[in-house]
Amino acid sequence: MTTEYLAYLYAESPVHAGAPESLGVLDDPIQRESSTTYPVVWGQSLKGALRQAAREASDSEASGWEREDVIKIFGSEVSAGGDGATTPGLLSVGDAQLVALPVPTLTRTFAWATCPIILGRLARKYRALGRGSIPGLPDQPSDAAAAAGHWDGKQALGPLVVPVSAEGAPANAVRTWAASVGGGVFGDDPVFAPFRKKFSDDLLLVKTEVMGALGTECTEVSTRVQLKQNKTVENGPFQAEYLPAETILAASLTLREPFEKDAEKRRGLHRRHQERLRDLLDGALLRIGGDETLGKGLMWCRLHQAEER
Amino acid sequence: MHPKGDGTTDRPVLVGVEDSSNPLIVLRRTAFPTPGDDGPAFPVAAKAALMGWADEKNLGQDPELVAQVARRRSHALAALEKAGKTVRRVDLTPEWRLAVGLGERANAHEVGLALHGCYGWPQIPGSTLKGATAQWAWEEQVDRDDPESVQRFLDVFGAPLPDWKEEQRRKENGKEDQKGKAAGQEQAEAAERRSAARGRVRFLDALPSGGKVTVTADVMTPHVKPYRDALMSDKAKPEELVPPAEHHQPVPVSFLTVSGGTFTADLVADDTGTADLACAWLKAAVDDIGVGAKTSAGYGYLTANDHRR
Repeated sequence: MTTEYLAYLYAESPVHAGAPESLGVLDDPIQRESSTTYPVVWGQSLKGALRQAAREASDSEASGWEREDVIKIFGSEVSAGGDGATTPGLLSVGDAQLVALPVPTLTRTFAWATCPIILGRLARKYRALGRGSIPGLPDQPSDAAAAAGHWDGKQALGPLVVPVSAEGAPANAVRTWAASVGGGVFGDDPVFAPFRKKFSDDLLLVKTEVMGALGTECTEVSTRVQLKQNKTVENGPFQAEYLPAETILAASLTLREPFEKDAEKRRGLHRRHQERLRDLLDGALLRIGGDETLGKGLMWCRLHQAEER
Repeated sequence: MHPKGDGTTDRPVLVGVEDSSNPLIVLRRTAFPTPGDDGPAFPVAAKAALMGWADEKNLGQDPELVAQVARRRSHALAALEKAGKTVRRVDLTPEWRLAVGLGERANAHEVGLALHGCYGWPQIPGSTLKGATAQWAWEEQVDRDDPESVQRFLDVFGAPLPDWKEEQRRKENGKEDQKGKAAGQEQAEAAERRSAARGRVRFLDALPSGGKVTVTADVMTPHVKPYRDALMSDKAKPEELVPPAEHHQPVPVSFLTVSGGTFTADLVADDTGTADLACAWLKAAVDDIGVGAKTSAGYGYLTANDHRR
């Protein structure tokens, strides 16, 4: 028996999950999928962040996390010499893929952009979760479709001007998906209510080509310099790329049952692990990626567990 | 969107922008070039229209969204406190004017200002606050002969990565005088070299709080521009230098500043000790040496007060 999860991540501050190589003028680009070029947070980066959160929880008694749980769920730590035996963890962590990217606009400050490929992947995550009713996938819109009428007409989205339509089948699909994703990401917390409302009004479905351009152009690029005593430049400028605040990602997680002969004990442990994960992640503010001491990488997490079958 | 005279005044205005337009588009994605003999020219009227919009609409800050974002930030800090971190919040109010990010001229009209990566509002980047605080503390608070005092500084800010060029030089020098050096001595020197360490305080980007901040278009008028241009250029030969003289036309250059309102800087630390130290240092630094550009002309000095909850 395994338990499937869907984790939504919602950026409170800019997120820098760094890629290994520099790219063009960027000294420090973010991780991207090679096929689509959409931003992504690799499973290994996400798992490290989750393990760190669990490790910190195990330092506090109130959390209910024991060091034993950390090792069982995330696997044993690699020993310094690399010789000691290691055990695999019970949790496998998938890539956190893009769900909706905030793009600057000339009205209402910003909108979230998504596309049929992205929704298709989310639908597969829903399927893995065993969801009964999955909203229908929209066809490629002719340019862009919106849930609300105030987007009707030509709109500036970051560097592009895109005709947006709020009528027809794609617009209906956006409405259904906005309601479904909005509930999953923002929950019922009143602090998030205005953002949930904005998401249902300001989610745009754009065609795949447009999404590609937005995914590369609408990230945040921050230029930093190190100054000498007399305030002239010592090092830099160097440019780091971030996923902007308000970005929404989703990752699939899978929790396996522990290796235990006794069925009763196995189920008990599995239930304990499920509870630990829920306490740690659901509604929590995680720290993911680099530049932590500059306040980057704060992401709200909501965890959705598959129905027990 | 294009600039035009509106008939009643001579001042050019932008058409098609709103109160809630995102400066990431208006400032960074627009250009109004007119073809000229030496390539495109950027008319003064276009820049004046951009600056007019920024000044009048305070860079598109939507008061409702400002308040919602501020509430969510408070919620995030509460979550971090619950997870065992210590949070200190400091309200920063410009004593006069503030010019952060003047060098970030990511647009055709060379208007530079630090903008939030999603909403496009003015912000004070965490890296700016951390850099200014570290500089002030190193000058004013650290006794460099006292290892404990240096360690207190490193606890807050961390230690930079070892300079690889320096390492390289050491290695090369090492090869030459290795024969004369005992192995023990080599090791002692290596231990003395400081290894990289992470700071224990996170300096978050400071956002407008308690309503929008006031944006004011400012102007400076450098005299004898041809002389200074020649000085700055690497190519100019001494005999080609244009002597400074008052017949050169002074050229006004407009730029954006923040002249009122409040930003809240948030510090998140691992423990109370470093949190209080960082908070006290930040408050003193922003008042004493200021942040951003043109501090010698009176820009960038901030009044710091504890944030009222």
